Amino acid sequence: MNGYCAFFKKEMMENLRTYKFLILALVFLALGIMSPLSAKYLPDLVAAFLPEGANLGIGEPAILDSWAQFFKNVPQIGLIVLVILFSTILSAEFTKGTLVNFVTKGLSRSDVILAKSTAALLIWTVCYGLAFGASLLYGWIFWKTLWPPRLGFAVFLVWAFGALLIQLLLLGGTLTKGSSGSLFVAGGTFLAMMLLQLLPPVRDYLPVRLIMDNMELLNGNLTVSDFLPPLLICAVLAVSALAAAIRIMRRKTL
Amino acid sequence: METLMEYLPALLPLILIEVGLALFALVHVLRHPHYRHGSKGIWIVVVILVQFLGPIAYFVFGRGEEE
Repeated sequence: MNGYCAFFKKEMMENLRTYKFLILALVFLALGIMSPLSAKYLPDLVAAFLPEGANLGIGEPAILDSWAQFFKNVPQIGLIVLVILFSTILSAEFTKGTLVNFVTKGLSRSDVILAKSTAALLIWTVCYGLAFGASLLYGWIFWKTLWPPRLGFAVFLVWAFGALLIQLLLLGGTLTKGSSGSLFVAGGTFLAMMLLQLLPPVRDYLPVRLIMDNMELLNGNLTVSDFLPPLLICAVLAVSALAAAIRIMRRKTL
Repeated sequence: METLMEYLPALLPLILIEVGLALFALVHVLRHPHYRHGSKGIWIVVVILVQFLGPIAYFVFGRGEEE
């Protein structure tokens, strides 16, 4: 436990000093502000560029348009930045050989993985929370509605998928020395799920739904219970990826 | 110009983040002359001209190890 706490502190310190935390926080804050803004001003923008009298049939923007932008921007841009920034989560230690000292001094290898996982999860939670908070605030300013029904659960789904990606990055990181393993496992899993979701019966169970169907939930076309199977599978995948990462890490030559 | 002033209050936080990030990265580029990839000139241009992605790219790929 001692080793875990010490390594967790070191991880947080490293993320602060390499500006990863700062950059991620700013990117997510910007995404959170951008979503309501683009929903609010998109009709004006389109009107300004179209010739007089042309009508595209875009209605008055509503609070749900803002969240539609949010659930498009955060998974598309936010998750990609998250994966790229954390793709060196293990490879930076391997290539510099910085883990050797810790491990020979008695830090257990599972603590390394667990501390890295917790630190990355904490940073992801804070940054995603910033985006959510900014979107919430602007939604309230523009539309005087704070909380459309089922918003909390829809927002939680994206968080869960981000958490899964972090565990996949860790698992991939244990497989290779460089950052290619992390990118390959996280990106490969995502691509595989994107392909599989084309098959209707499989689609209902894929974790990738957690970042694709959020608006269906907010619109009321889907209910909370529709998301329980993919959410469960997402949790199982995340835990087994973490367990596998610890297992491989124990046998890896540093 | 009038329309710009109308939207300015709403856009201001976004502009502040963008400019802040660019300036922060620019100062870092100038004060740390060791890069993993690229050179000082390239990073100055990228950081100033490419919004958001420029500074991110610099800190991910360009920032060298402290000597």
